[in-house]
Amino acid sequence: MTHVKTKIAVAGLILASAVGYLAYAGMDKGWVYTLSVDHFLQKPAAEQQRTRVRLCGTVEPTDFQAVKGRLGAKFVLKGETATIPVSYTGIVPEMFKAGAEVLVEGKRDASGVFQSDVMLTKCASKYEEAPNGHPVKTKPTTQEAEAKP
Amino acid sequence: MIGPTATIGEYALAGSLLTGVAVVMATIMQIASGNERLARVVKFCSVLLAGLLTLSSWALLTALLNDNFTLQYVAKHSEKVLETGYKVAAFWAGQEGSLLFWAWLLGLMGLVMTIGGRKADSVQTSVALAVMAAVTAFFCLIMLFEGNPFAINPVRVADGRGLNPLLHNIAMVAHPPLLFLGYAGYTAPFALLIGALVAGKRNSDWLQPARYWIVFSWVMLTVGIVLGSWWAYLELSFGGYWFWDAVENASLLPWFTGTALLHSAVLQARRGIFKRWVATLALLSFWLCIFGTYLTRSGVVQSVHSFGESPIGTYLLVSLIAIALGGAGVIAWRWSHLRPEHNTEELINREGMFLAANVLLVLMMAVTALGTIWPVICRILGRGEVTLQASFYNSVILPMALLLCLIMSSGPILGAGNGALARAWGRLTVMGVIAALAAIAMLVLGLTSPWTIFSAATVAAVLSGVVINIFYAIRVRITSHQDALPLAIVRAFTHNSRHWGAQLAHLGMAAIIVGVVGSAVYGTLDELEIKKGETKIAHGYQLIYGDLQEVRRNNHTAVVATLDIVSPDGKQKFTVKPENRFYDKGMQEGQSAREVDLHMSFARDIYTVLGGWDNTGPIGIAILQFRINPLINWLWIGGALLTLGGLVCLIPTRAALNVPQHEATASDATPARTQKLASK
Repeated sequence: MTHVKTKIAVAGLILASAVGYLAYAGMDKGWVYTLSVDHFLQKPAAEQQRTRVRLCGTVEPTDFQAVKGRLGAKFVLKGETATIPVSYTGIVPEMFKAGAEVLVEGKRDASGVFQSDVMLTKCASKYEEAPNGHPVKTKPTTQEAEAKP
Repeated sequence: MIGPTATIGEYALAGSLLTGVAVVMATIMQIASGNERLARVVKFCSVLLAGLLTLSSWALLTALLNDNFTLQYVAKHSEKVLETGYKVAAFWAGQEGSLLFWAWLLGLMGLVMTIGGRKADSVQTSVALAVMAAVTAFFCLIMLFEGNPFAINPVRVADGRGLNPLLHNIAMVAHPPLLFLGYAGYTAPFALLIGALVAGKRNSDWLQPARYWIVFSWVMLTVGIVLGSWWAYLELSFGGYWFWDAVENASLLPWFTGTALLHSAVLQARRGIFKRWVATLALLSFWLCIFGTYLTRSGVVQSVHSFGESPIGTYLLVSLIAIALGGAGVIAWRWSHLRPEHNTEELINREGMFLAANVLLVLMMAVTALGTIWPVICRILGRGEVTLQASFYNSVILPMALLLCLIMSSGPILGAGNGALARAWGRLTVMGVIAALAAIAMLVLGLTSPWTIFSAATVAAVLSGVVINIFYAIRVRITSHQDALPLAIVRAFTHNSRHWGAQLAHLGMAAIIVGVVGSAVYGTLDELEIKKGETKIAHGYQLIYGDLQEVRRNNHTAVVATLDIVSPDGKQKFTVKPENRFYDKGMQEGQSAREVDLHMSFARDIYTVLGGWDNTGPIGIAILQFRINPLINWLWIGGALLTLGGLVCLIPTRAALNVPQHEATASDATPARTQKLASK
């Protein structure tokens, strides 16, 4: 009986260790930080270009290029004081306009432009209460939408 | 004018709180004094509690149906032009109403337990009813102090704000109440467990009614989750169905432990083993239902689903601590009563597979829970705002799900007890060969993704396992009961319906794997600008943009695009009409609801979304999202099979009616008995 219990304990330990490793490996590459524009720009340039992040800020009225009925938009995202040019590809959310609060996901290219393929028209922490706890319709993240295993 | 019904509703709610407290007090007095007559008080008050909550729910429903906008809740979640079905759905569409709905379900379940517990030990029944009443009273307390559905609107309004347009969908009408039925349902097995433990019972009699609650809650939770995913797929226009959002995860956590509980309960009922697993999982499943509610309603985790920050979070947190300490305390107190009646001597048998599945399901729950609260942990540790992406869950949960399916397929093949592996070796070899052939077939077809190969092997193992089970069940009927083949086929299925219900659910899991892996690995997405009359090619499909029309309907104006699609081989031609709806109420100015249009088949969905348009110039332009989602409908078929399997398990069997096990189950005794018969 003790022998069986030992076997069960060993099997359980192996299983838990395998899952622990999977979780550790998955977590290592599976997360993305949400930063303010100011915080992001304080990071070293190499890190800005290497790591995919979510940036939260307000769309500046100047240099605003988004054409109705067209894919993509170019605009300047403003944090508390700092600004960063953003180039977004994909379907533009309909609530997107100058002065709107947006969240963009991507990373900075060598020319200093933040290249994004994901845009939400409100910052994650500022969603309004939705009836029955269901979301206000916005574009999802590419990762969410693709959900490749 | 508040109206008498609202006043009745509020008084009934206050009465429910007092009645719930009375049930608990009477039970404590019954245990302390040993006065059996107090059991009648407990039962009477439990019936009264159900009655008062029904009255309160009727009051809110009447207010919704009669457009009583003097109530804040009605003004916030309904409007005059809302269809009657959606007015009913508004009952559970907001925080306060959903709490009342949950409390009402608990009250009704308490009533069913009162009727069902007529013949049981009086202390056992009283304690179980007291647990149900305590949880119900807790919800009443929250409503009366923090979320009163009968609160008066401080401003007089002629009409309400209406229901969120996204919720104007039949799946969304059914999804929340089904989830609440599941959540509320898991209170019952926990209550019955505590009743049995406090009464000092060592046997498994309490599982007889508890198993129905366990299966019922699991079925409700399963349908609720599947319908929620289906709704997200149809309504959110993201092309996906599951986003690993905190609130989605919250419903999945009790499903993992509930599935483990479902299986453990079978072994406890049949062989008197896994008692400690059953007790722990019953506590955990109930606790996770409240934990999920805490996540949804406290604002602790940022989620696009959440109800927003709310003071009820504190109440729920206190209750979580109380349930954990109280439940674990009672289980620890009676730990020796939960000693298994038989000892396991081997690992590779049916019990071993059940154990492995339990461990795996609990680990899946733990990983999902960790991922869900990880942003909170990071915030506490000062690491900033972190979002854990779907890739994390996919890379951890999917391999575990595949392993679980392999365990699930071999469990029913292996018999119980010692020597199971030796007896089932031939059948397992057949299964293994079929799985290997399926994997090789994928490689031959050029489908080299490791997910595809492993999934194909897993699905083949599950399918072959079910076929082997059917084959042996028929053989046992022929050899041991001397049934003719047609009769043997009929009896193999009609005897022990629970076994076949489980097999159906296992097939459902295999179908879900097909849908998940097929759509995730081979799905495509194109976002394109297309001019009127222009033809564009996307993954071999010809897309011809015809027209854009504005259509006025009951409560919205829709902009409808017409798109003709020709399949790559030219054999299929069809038209899709994705649209954007501008509802009169419930949305911000300029915001619309994108309505997906689908062309469905078993092989794939063509999923189209109208992402924008420009009709101002001489040539109209539309922005289209065009997705091919291969095999995705197998996900919904799998969900339906899971549900159907669960429902079949709810049918009372001869075994449940105390018919000896060997008489009732042909397939269940398959491996050992067949071996014995074959050797004769």
